[in-house]
Amino acid sequence: MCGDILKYADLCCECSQGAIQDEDPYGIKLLHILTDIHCQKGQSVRSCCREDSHRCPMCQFPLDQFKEKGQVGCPECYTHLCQDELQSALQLSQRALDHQGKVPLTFQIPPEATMKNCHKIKSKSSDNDLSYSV
Amino acid sequence: MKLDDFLSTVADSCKKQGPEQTIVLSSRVRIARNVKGYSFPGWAKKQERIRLFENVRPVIESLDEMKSSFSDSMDNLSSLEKQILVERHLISREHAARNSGSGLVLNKDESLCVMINEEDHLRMQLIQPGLQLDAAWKQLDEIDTRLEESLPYAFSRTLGYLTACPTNVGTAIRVSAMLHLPGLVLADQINQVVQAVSKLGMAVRGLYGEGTDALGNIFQVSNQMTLGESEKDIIDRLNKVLKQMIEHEENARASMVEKKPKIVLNQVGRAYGILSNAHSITSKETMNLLSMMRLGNDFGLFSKMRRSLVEELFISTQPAHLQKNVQDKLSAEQRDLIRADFLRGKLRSVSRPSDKFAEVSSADGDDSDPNI
Ligand SMILES: [Zn+2]
Ligand SMILES: [Zn+2]
Ligand SMILES: [Zn+2]
Repeated sequence: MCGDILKYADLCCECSQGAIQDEDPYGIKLLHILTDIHCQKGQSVRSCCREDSHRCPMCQFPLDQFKEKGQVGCPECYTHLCQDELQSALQLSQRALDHQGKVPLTFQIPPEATMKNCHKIKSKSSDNDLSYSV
Repeated sequence: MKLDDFLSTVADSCKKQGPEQTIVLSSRVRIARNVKGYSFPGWAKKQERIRLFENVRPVIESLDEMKSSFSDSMDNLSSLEKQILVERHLISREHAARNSGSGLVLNKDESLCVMINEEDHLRMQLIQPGLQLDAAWKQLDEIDTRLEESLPYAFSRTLGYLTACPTNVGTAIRVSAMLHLPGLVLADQINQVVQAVSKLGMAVRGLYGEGTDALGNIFQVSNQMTLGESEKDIIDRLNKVLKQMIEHEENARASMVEKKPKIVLNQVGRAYGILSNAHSITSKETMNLLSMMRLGNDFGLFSKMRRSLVEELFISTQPAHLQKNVQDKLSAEQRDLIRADFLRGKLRSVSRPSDKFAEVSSADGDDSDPNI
């Protein structure tokens, strides 16, 4: 459980914490692709434990109204939403929970570059090839 | 430029032909894109919407495809002009309801239309006649790739393209085809087919989208899910479904001609009789009868009638298209009179349908395009 540090839903606990400390959300987004690698061992990254209602820091959208409105206020809202709610909304309407298909050029980062950014991969990469099969 | 001066005539825009045109009227690919750092249109304040519109509009206009395009803010368009765009399937009904801070850019041949600040910052659609989803996606994909150089898209690696509504995240793509399925309707098989298609994750709607009836036996089939499957896989899957629907429709038509030719002749003959002789007719009745004329034409029952005439009449008998040629605001009853006058005029040159089928009884149903 990540408690209230779970700002970056796509990331594991440690990286989320790192992301907040770095205050470099877009740089950290490089890591999203690696999420599942980190969190295979039973830790649920996606379970969010936030109880208090709050607003998106970017657009002030009241995030607890997501369910009733069925929409969010801005792209950034997706990172601040209760991830359980988001996930169940996606499960109802979508085929799977991970994007397949077109990726804008600026997000097409060579694998080496992504790996440099993630401490866990760096330390594990040599003895765990399974990590790359995501 | 005024919209009416820009738009091609309905007759011209209906002349475009594509593969499988007998059953597939058109193919459409639409993608949603949003710009990072801006609220979605439904939540943004008016000033923010205007700012986004002013930033994005010149980028769209600068596309090669948009040379000599029509581009305007929704508040500069009259409600009649907006309705004409809806009737031509160029904008959504939702977009027609919008005003300042929203707009559209439409290319010369009306195949590419970009709605700015609809539910998402950008909704771009590419329409092609007949069944050509792959070609439509290829073109739109290229345009989108050029746009992403100038517009910082809101994108997440896990959720893909971020949209106002989570039902569109991921590829944010809606791929659809408009099908004319009178055979399945007459054979009473349409509900079965619609149910089967829905089970495959496709939505089936009427001519004017969500919540509309399948007037004129025209059905829109589109993908429902956008996350977890690539654009190509979505299109391949829809293509497979469409191929099957086309086959079912062809079989239904063939077996009707074989087993119940009189029913078909009766329907087509009555449709022609009413459309070319009525003095008052509703839009709904017109659409349903035109569908029978189109079917009759596919069966070769009308000599020398071009199929595009029926398509043309489908659109030009819609309320806004009738209204635009008349000064005073028409009531529904007045429209029914004008519609009937218009149809009688247009069908004067079409001779009555043949009262029997040409040598089709030997056909196996695998070659069901007797007159193209
Ligand atoms: Zn990590
Ligand atoms: Zn939660
Ligand atoms: Zn927000």
